[in-house]
Amino acid sequence: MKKPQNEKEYIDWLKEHFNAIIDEKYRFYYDTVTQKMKTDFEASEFWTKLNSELLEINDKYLVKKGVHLLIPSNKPKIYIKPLDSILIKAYRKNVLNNKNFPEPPDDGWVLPANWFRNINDILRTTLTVKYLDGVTFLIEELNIIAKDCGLNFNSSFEAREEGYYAAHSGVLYSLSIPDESFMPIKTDLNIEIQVTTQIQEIIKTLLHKHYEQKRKVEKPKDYKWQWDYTCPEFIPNYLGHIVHYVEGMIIEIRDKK
Amino acid sequence: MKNYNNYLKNLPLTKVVKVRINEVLNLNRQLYEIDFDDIFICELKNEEGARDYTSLWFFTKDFCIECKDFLNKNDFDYTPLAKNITYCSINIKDFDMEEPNEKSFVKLYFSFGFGLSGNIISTEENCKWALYIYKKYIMNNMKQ
Repeated sequence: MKKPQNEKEYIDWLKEHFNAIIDEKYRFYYDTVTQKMKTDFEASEFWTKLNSELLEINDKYLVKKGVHLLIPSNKPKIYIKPLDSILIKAYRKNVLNNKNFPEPPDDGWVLPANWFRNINDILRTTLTVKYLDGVTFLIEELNIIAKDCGLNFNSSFEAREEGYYAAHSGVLYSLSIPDESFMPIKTDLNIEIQVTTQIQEIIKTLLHKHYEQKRKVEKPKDYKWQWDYTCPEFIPNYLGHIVHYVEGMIIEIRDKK
Repeated sequence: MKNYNNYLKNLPLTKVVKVRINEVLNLNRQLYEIDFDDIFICELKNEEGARDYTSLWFFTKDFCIECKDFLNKNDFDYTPLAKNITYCSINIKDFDMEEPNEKSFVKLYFSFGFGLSGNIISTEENCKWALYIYKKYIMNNMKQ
């Protein structure tokens, strides 16, 4: 099995080995399904409750910490991952990061037939808080709402060597989606809820392009970006670490006051 | 109040803020062993649109208490009110004295002399109550 070298070759590879055709018809199908998923989730008890509870959660933090948690004008929105981003993610999992290639990765191939279930951020939202300690505070509140709605909730606090800090959480939401022959199938979908601070959000937006590009390029196993000060990762990665440190100091100063 | 259940019901307060108001109210009832005739919550919207609560006031015909930064502190100022106010001013914006809108703002300032003064700030629906406080407790307690 020849290893695809870029996304275009990857689409051909999908067709050749799995008979998975990514054409205009499939793109239309993907858009229809994801739009239905979004509409269903926006009408869910969890989403409605979350939106109605945000002010209460903010004031709970206000009474506890003396400062606001949220910015009222930042209403959370549900975003759909574009198909091209799904393809990049699947290319990364199946090829670039797959040490077993040409055998499937440890968790199995990520293919159109299973990616609504296996890719955990096809629908995602971001909640932005003002302070670093607001991240854990809000994650706990989300957990309570998910439990009240009978949904499974997961969360992890990402702290990567590359200076990436964010809390990724998700709820498992069960819904019915059409398969490619438009027969309804029941699927458990993970809706990703990222909780981040205002400053991290700015940095993340600035660095997003950088991460996307980086993920598409294979690097030697022993490559150390920390010593390659001319590489494109050097400044953004260290900026991520510095910002996280500064946000910790801000809390320290705030609570001393 | 007396009137304050009605007052609290009419303001867009969250449950957690109401719980804290009741906590401060009960603490003051225990301290002064009296029930209050009226209460008032000073609030304003900050530049991000979030509601800031600056202080909570309790009134009787004889005195007033300001609970500063009441969400986070138990810090109370007790001041005799009866005919003790030497100066007052009212600043009204976007309010026809009857129907407040989302831009309505009322600010009261009153001074007791000797460097003692009070500030009451209100927005939207709360402006009606600020006016009520102004007439009932400030205007009626001006030193002759």
